[in-house]
Amino acid sequence: MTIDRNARRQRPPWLTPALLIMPAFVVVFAIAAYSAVSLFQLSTVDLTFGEPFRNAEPVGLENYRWLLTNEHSTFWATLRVTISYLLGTLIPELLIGFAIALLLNRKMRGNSLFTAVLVIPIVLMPSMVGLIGRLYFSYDGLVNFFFESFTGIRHNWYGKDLALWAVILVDIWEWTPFFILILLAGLQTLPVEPFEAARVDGASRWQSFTLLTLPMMLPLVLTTFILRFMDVLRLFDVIFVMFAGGPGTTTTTLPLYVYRTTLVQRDVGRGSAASIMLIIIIVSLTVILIKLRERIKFEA
Amino acid sequence: MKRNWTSITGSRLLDLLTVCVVFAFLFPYLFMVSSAFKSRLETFAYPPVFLQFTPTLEHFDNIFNNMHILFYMKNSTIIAVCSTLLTILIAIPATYAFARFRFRNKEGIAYGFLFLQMVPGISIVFALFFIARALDLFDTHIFLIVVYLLWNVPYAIWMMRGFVEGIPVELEESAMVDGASRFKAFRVITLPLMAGGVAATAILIFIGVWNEFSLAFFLTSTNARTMPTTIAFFMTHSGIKWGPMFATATIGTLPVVVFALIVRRYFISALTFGAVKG
Amino acid sequence: MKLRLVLVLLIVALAFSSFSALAQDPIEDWAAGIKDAYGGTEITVAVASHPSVEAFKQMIPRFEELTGITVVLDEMEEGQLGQRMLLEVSAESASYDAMMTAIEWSPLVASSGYATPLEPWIESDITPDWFNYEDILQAYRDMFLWEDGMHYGIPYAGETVFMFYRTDLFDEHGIDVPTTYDEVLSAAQYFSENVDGVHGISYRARLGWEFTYMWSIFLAPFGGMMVDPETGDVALDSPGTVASLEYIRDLWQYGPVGVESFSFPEAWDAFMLGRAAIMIEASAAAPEVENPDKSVVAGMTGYSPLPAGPAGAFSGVWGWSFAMMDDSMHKEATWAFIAYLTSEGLQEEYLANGGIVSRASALGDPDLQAANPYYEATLATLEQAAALGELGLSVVLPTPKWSQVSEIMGIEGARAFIGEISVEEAIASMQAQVSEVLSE
Repeated sequence: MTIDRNARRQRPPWLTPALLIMPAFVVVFAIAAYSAVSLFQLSTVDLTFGEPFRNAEPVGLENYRWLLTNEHSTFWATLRVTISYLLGTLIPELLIGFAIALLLNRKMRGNSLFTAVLVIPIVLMPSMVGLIGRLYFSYDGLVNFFFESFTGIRHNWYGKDLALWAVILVDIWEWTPFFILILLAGLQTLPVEPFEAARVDGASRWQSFTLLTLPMMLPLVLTTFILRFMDVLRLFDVIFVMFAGGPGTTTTTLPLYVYRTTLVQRDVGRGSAASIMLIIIIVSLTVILIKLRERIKFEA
Repeated sequence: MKRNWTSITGSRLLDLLTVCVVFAFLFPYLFMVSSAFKSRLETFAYPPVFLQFTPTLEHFDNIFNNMHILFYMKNSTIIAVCSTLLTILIAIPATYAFARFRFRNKEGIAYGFLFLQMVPGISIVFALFFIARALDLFDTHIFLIVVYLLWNVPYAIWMMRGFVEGIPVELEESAMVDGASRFKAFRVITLPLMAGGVAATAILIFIGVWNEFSLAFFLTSTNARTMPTTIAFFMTHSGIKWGPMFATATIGTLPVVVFALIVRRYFISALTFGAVKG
Repeated sequence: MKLRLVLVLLIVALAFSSFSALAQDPIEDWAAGIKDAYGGTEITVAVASHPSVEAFKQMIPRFEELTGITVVLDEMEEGQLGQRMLLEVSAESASYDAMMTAIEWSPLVASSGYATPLEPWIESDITPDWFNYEDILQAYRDMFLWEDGMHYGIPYAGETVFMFYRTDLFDEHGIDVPTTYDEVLSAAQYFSENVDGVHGISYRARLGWEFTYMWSIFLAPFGGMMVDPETGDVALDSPGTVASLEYIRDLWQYGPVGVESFSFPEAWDAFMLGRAAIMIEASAAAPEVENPDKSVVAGMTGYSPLPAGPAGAFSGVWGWSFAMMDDSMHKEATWAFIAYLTSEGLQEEYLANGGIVSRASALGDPDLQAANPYYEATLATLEQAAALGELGLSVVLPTPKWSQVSEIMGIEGARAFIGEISVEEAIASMQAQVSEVLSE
């Protein structure tokens, strides 16, 4: 970051980056700013989806109060499900994804083919993944066939005890390849010299992994984690098609709750308020992750 | 000698493990593809029918000739290709600025991008619907292409930034010391090195657009409807049409898989640095 | 292929005969007039993925040829169609000329002015003689009647709920077909416990509108109700409502494994694959059950009206219609389209293509009754639905806010169903929330 010499002579140092960022800035902020403002406005009105928007009645922060404190609100139960779902999907996906990326990063016949076909689960349309999950996890489905073959027991994946596990397993299947793809691309760009030096110094594979690969990969690992984390808190198609959030509310995650409240129960005010709170949650957790990322980058 | 032998065996074992893992991930998909050639009752058989069935092409005939799946695929392809290219084009300069320059509020602006793309599509669909109607762009390809930029550009910036930052800045500096302009140094040194990251990002963005449902559904009608909205043809009032659904899922994955196969060399080992031999 | 060839020949022959014998066919006669007046118009119609639409798709080419009107269908899953409709109502502009509407949406499209009242059109000169509006079952016609005394949809796919049962199993085990809900419970228990691989009873119980759909059938027989017909107050906390919710929870133990997440396709498949002895489900399942490509119990299924609970035997009606948008610029052509497809004159073709029976003439036809074993049960169940109407009750509240009510009942009910909360808590919660929604 010290190569601004040429630029400095001719123009102010901020100009080049400003010009570079401008197109992206214009596109994103033009659409997003309008949308974000209108979303916040909707969260402070009482409005039924299906009524003209001029019927909206301002209620201040009443929608937020209702969601957070009303005894009939399932917001908190939804939040608990969301946290379980987040932990249940992200951590295994990261670990398995990293491990497979390492496996594929070896010299081996066919590994580029393997990488290419591993994108298939992400490519399948989410609503179709949901339908397929619904079929495979049924009592007479593929998953129970394997369970019965190996353990002799069939499980009720549609029931309240296992439904969340079923959607988590589907998500792991669908999205682990995302981590594989990104982390493998990251491993490929690592410089080779430090590893050669370490080998000359007699470092074991484990040592070169923990002392070189891991620290160098951490920023990318965290970026991937953050992007995926935001996706989990935004996507709900698979759960919606599989179980619609049920049985009971056992698989109703926050994004699904927003969808159901806004478009099915047609309460635009409460739905938008829940949506704003979802964004606040994502932003605060992301800030924590980013701080972590910066500290790690600094140390590395 | 002995050490060499164990390491070869270990390497073989790891190869085997790799093959098994990849197969495990692929199996549900392969089973699904096989189901696209099964009759309805065979789909529901328990224990499942793996290979012992008489393949039928009726579901493919159905989706091509009755459901006109190619029309939706064409729309999806136009929108996904254009949106991906536009995203990458807009995002690369911005990525480079964030990764290589020092300026005031840099991180603040970067977070701004990140947070704006968190706005859930479903919550702003009303707003977009009104804009589309007002500009007379409802049910057009171009409107969806532009709308998707909101999510894709920040995504691409953040994803690619990690890759650019992983490339040592000294390489560019030494090129510039040799007299290359900044742009040339970027084009000759950095761009080829980040190709893997760009390819991976492009694939993920392409997939994201290809699969997006909510906006595509609400902002289109009969002219620009995309593949994901065809789910309606399979979730009908008289039950789920499994065969045509499996056939469509099979067809729908093909373009991306082909694309991934074409660009796979960018993922693996073709880079100047080579792989970590770890 | 063969069928298509025959059709083409038929059309050619008809076209030819119209030249030579000056249009004796009343349909062509009518269509010629329409073509003169409105030929060349293009209309856009939003439809759901529904067997009736599949039937219409086979009929539209001839309509286009005869009238010169071009029809563009925008097909969506039914939940999505509902959301599209809501979005258009909110935006106060219609991008369609006609829309397939469900009974649940009719109050909204009528009260918001999105749809246009159809009485003037039914009585207009465009309507052909062979349309015969009165022949459509009154129970179905009145689903689309709004408070202003006007109808806002022409129904063509009525639906009711009755009981499906396996005649082979009931004969083999010497069990009588249940006529009360107590007998349903004991028969379901018997089959669950005594027949390998067969569960007692299949139905839908998935979170949301599916749960409400199923539960609404059980309310009246147990003396429950959503709104008191005399006072107009929300009455979800009546003892009968509690009893009905407890009853369907008791049925759960004799349902197929996972019934708590079943939507209608799973419920039907369980029965069609021979894994359930009884099913209480939509009449729309009957043609599927009788289709040997999909069902192993075709020809082994009996149909009966719903059993009686402590307060009597009741069923309900649902259904689909075509509504015409008030903003449409091509109302004449659109009405010609609706009248043509839903007419008595084209009924035979519609039913042969897999359409859903909705007219008295077809349900009473002895030949059709013999070919479709569920027609009799349909007629008997429609009387049960009429009995519900006489009490001033219905399975769908006639209010634009029905989808909110349905979602609240479907969530709280489904939570009680799996024991996440108690029945009492669920009832108290829905009573409070539904009162709030309806009082606004």
